[in-house]
Amino acid sequence: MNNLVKLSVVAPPETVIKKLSRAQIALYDLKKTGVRTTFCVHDKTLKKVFAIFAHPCYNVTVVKYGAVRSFLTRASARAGALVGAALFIAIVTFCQTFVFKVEVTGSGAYLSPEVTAILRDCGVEAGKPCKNIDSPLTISRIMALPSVTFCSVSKRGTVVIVDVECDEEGSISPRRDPLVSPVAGEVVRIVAICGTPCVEAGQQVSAGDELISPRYTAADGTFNSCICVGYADIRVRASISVAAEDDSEKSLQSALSAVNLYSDGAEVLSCTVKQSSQGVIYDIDFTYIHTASINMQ
Amino acid sequence: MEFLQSILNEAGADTARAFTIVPLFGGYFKSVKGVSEFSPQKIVLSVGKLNLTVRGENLCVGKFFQGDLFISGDIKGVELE
Repeated sequence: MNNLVKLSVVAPPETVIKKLSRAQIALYDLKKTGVRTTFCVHDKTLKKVFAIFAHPCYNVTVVKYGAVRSFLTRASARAGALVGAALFIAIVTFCQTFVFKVEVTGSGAYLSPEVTAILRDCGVEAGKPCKNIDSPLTISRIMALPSVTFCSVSKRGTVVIVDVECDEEGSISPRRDPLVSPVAGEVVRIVAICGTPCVEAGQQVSAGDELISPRYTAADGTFNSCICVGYADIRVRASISVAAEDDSEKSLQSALSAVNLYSDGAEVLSCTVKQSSQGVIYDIDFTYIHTASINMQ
Repeated sequence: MEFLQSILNEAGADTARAFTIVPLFGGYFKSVKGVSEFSPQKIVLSVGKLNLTVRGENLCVGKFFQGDLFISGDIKGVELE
């Protein structure tokens, strides 16, 4: 019954009932107030009622509109304010999808540059929109930082708060130098949890070449320093010479087993035999995977 | 209601012109053609060729549509003329 309109008319109740009854209009809550009669009708029959009491002597007036019509009337009168409010809500909702600040709290706050770099790699960066702030990749990369025992990423408004807790007692202070290649060879895999990788898989490196640099590129393009966390698998080519008394299957197997001293996954490329004064010498060419890491626990 | 209906049918009553009164609440009247007199203390209804006078306090028409009339208020008595 919220769409009832309350009307007032200068006429006796009998006349009102008679006229509305004849027009088949439902009548509600009819009361006599002095010379006026107040009653309610459905909103959709309002025009009909005004037509019935069209004569000026009836002086028909609307006392109160129904809830729906009343709301629409008020809304149309305050259209500017409503549009402004809707716009404000839309802007606030839109801004909620953005990140304007990244805060690192907890005992691991000193790892702020590293955490910021990891978040940036995972797509969480100040001034940019982001949805998935606490992806498993982000958490696992932060957890891989030295001494980190707990990590939680949450968003309050436009601020991303990263709570990082570190094991203060049993921790070893992280190295601040870059990861350099101790051997020459081909990079098979490089994983930089923190820091900037300087080489790609398949690239040839020499001993002493920088593999992961202790820095990251900020949003404004500047380089910021951070610790390096990561590792690289490098395929190294090597050769060894093994002396044996005679050229036999047993001697060959013994020579090949020496290769496994370098690495379990060594792969023999070639094996040649040459005679010597004391028997034979096996020259074996092979490759093995050398893993270089920094700040990995 | 079935019991009441069977009694009315036996007596040959015209249930289309019946009314129901609820003390201190109001009354429901059927086949009302019009209202010939209206005041908070007295309402005279035209039902067929008869006039039905409803007396009470704070009487007002709660709803009236297609012959069905609901009078709210404290109805003290109904007279048939």
